[in-house]
Amino acid sequence: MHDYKGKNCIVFGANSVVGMEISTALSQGGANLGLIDLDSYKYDALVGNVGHPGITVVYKTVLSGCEDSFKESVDGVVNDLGSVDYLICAFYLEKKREKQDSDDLCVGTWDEWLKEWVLNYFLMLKAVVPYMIQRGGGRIVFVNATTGYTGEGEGEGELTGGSSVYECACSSAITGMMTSIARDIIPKGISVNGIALGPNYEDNMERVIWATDLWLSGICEYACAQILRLY
Amino acid sequence: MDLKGKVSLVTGGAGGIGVKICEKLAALGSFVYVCDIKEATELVDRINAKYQEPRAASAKCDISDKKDVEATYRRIAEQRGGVDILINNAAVYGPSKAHHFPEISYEDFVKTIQIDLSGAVYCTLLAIPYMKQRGWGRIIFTAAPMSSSGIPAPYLAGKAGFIGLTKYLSQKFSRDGIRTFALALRHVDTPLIRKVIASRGRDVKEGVEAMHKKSLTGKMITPEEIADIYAHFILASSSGLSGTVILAEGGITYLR
Repeated sequence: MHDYKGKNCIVFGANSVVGMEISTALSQGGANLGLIDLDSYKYDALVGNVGHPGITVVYKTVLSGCEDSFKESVDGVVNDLGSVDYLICAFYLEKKREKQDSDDLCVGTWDEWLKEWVLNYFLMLKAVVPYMIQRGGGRIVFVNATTGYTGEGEGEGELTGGSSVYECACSSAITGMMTSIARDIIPKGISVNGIALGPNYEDNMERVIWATDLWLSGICEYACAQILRLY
Repeated sequence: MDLKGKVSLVTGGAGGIGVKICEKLAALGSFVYVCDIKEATELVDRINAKYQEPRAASAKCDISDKKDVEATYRRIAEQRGGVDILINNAAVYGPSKAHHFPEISYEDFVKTIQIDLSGAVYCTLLAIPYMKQRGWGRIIFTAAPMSSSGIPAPYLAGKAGFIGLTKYLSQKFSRDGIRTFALALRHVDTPLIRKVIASRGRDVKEGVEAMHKKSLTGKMITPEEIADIYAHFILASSSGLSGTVILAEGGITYLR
């Protein structure tokens, strides 16, 4: 990781596998953290990993799909840290996959996925981006899945039940949403780029950290709406 | 091959591209439910007047409301058994007010994505069991290139979502005889494109001419041409053809 000393980073979905790993890596790189997550999750597992001397860590919760709640939490983080340089949008893909039967074709399940993944990402950006505009720049990294491009489940060329119709639709919808948003806000000095998690991503977390570092470090300052697919 | 005995549901069936798809499917022998937010009486009458037997009916439905979609499918099941051919074509070029982030309101975002993406998901999930039972089905999404520029976030989210859906459904259900396709369209000469030009404060006639010129073929694609492409994919006999995303945009998309 590059040196992120003095940078303030909000990690949304901090208790997901990806959120935890990125939070830990950024704290080791010296970044102050605003960790935000859904109200049903706890931060116990994360506290020991990110509590390094000299960095500030703030914990907040949000209510899924509630605009006021997202704004209130982000306002609280910015109040405590002073500003926000980076935003990471992570998602509980592993938890959703565990609960998901790939043969399920339920319209109600779709509504849940859409809210928890696509709509919550939108709400987080709505709450954070005005602060980035105010300070003249920022970097945003979002996480989706390669299944949004391939339609496949885990394992090469096989449908093994890891994926679902909901995951594939949400993941590719996020590509579209973020592509449009990236183009709207890059003139304001804010970059938006993504990481598409591939099969068995939980065992290959070093690649996720590498990709996060690539987008946050400024090496690819002019990249706009690019997504690294980690097959 | 024709489509006699097949039941089609075309969402956004009373709109620019939808009308031509409905007419084309009826001409090929399918019975077509014209699904739209408003009754499509005029179109249904026009189609039925052409043939000796009824080939169309109106299916007024707000596809963003899952209960309304479920009720529509129940009606179709009672009347004709189920849907063999689903064309997910409905969309609004939302949001209604601000088009750029972060000015787009959450309310507008949700409203648009409910129509443009959730509506298609509802229709698709409800169509699959009958198609599986019959061992035959066609699902086509009217999508857009993911790299399209200048398109509002909720609209592009919906259109891009179709790509993942197409890929997944083809892998999951091809063995059940269900084939899925997405047509990624841009620069189709429809009333919607004129509304979009007007919404950007431009002269509509000049805007349309500029779009004709911008296309590498020198002209925008017509809804009739699009309907022909849909029919071609529905009629394709190759069992290996599914999960395909076709760009139909006159060559203007640089990044694919």
